[in-house]
Formats: sequence, structure tokens, C-alpha cells
Amino acid sequence: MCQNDAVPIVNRSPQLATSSELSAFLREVERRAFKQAVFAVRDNEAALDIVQDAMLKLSEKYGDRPAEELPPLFQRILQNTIRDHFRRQKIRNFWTMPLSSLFTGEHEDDDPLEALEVESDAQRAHDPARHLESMQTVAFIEQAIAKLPTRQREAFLLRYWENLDVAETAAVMGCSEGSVKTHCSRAVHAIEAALKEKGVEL
Amino acid sequence: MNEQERGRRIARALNQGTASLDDAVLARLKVARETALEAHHAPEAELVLAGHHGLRIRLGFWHRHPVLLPLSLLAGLLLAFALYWQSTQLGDPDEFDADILADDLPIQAYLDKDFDEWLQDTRPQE
Repeated sequence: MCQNDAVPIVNRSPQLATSSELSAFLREVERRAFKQAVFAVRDNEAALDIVQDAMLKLSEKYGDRPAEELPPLFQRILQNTIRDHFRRQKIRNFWTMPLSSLFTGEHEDDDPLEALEVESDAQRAHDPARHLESMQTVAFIEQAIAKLPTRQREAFLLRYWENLDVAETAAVMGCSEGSVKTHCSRAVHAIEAALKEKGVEL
Repeated sequence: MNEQERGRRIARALNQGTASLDDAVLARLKVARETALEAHHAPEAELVLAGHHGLRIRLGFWHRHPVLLPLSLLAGLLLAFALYWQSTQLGDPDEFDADILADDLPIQAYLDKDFDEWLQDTRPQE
């Protein structure tokens, strides 16, 4: 057949993420995304709102992107949504802090990690002592991560938890690859030092 | 163990924390995921002309509204038929005048009231 013979065929574009691929990706990433948001904002409700916003933005604006592009895109959206939260909070605090300070005392610092240390009955029954030790270690790590400077925490979580490579992490964070390596190195040393203080060896 | 391995080992320990999220959080995450998926539009079908790699016509609108395509086709067919029928009823006025001059009057002329009026108006005064 001549190459110019035009035969219309209807097909699906192969590179686009299907709903099932998007669903699988969101299901796989949702818990880590929530914890990332909790580390940043230290508030469960706000973290849930952030994750929902990020998921919605990904779906609405980038749902037609290839499936393999979803992880870095979602991470970028998530980080931006967290920053938006802080911007809004800053503006809100500017107007509400002077008024609320007249009626209430100092704000209590809730520890969001306390809410995360819930054990299921099945796990507790399995090996309570070992499970408790394990959960304590996780809690120490989470506390150490929550105390990291923002950029170090972002770099560490993107690089080692989300398994993005250095270039992808740099793209998400909007910095150089060298900066990513520096942030990651400092984060690892800071977490190890914090764990050592608690007498924890991984 | 190098720094990367240590980093990944710490991150693996974090996964244990995600396994023990409480039910209320998991329920909210599920709602968030389902809301996002509702907003996701399915990949658009494309009309691809083989041999012309650059020519792709997106059919996304029709794909999302499948009922509109047959309705639009039906409306187009009805409009085309109506236009055709109208054109056959009117006839060509030039051809009509030529028939009158040639004294070969079509039967429609006698059924046309305007034609009678025209005959009376144009009849020479006695």
C-alpha cells in the first residue's frame, strides 16, 4: 500500500495514564504523602487537606500525562501545596493572632506523631515487646525528620522514601543536583545523630 | 554501609509508620483518592490518519459525550433533507419564465393564485 493512502483508524493514545493507573499510583503513594505533609505542617487535618488538594490537582491538570511521569509530578504538586498552606497560614495568623492572644493563653504544641502510634490488636498480640520497640524507633525517626530543616527533609524524603533519583529530586525541589546531595547527606547525619542520642542503632 | 544505603534503611523504617495509620485517616485518604479519580478524564480517543503521522484529530469531546455524536448526525441528516426538499419545491424562476414564453406552461402555473392575478394585471385594457 502506498504510504500516502490515508486509512482512518480510531485508537487510544498509548502514552496516557489510564484511570486504573492513576488509581494504583494514588493508592500506593497516599500514606507516604500524608506522612510527608504531617512532617511539614504537624497537623493531621491540614495534612489530609493538603494530600486531597494535591491529588485533585494531579488528576485535573496532569491526569493525561504518561504514568511514569506521575511520581515526580505529584511530589512537586505536594511540595507546592504544602508551601501554599504555609503562605495561607502566615496571612491568617497575621490577622487572627493579635485577637486570639487577648482571649487565650499560649498555643499548645500538639505532637502529631502521637496520633500515629496506634497499634492494631493483631500486631500487639503477635509480639508486643518487639512491636513496641519497633514503633518507638519509627517514632524517633519521625521526630528526627520533623525537626530537620525544610529543604533537608524534602530532599531526604524525595530521594530515599519516594525513590526519586538525584535529577528528579532536583527538578521537584527546583535546585541543583549538588544541593540535593548536600541536603541528603546532612539529613542522614542529623537523623543518625538524633537516633544515637536516644540509644537507637538501625 | 555507605550514606545512600543508610538513608534508604532509615526510609524503610518509616514505612512501618504508614502501616499503622488510624482508620479515620485511611478513610479520609480513600475519599481524597476517589474525589481525585472522579475528576480524572479518561484518555482521549484520537482519529489517526495512517501515512500522515502528524495528523491527529482528537475526539475527546465526542468520547466524553457519546450520546451527542449520533444525535448530531441525525440532526445534520434532517437538515440536509429539509434543504433538498425545499429546493425541489421552488424550482428555477428563470426556467419557469422560459416555459411561459415558449407557451409550454407547466401545470403548477394554473394552480398558482399569483399567476391568475398576474394574468389579470397584464391583460390589455379594452
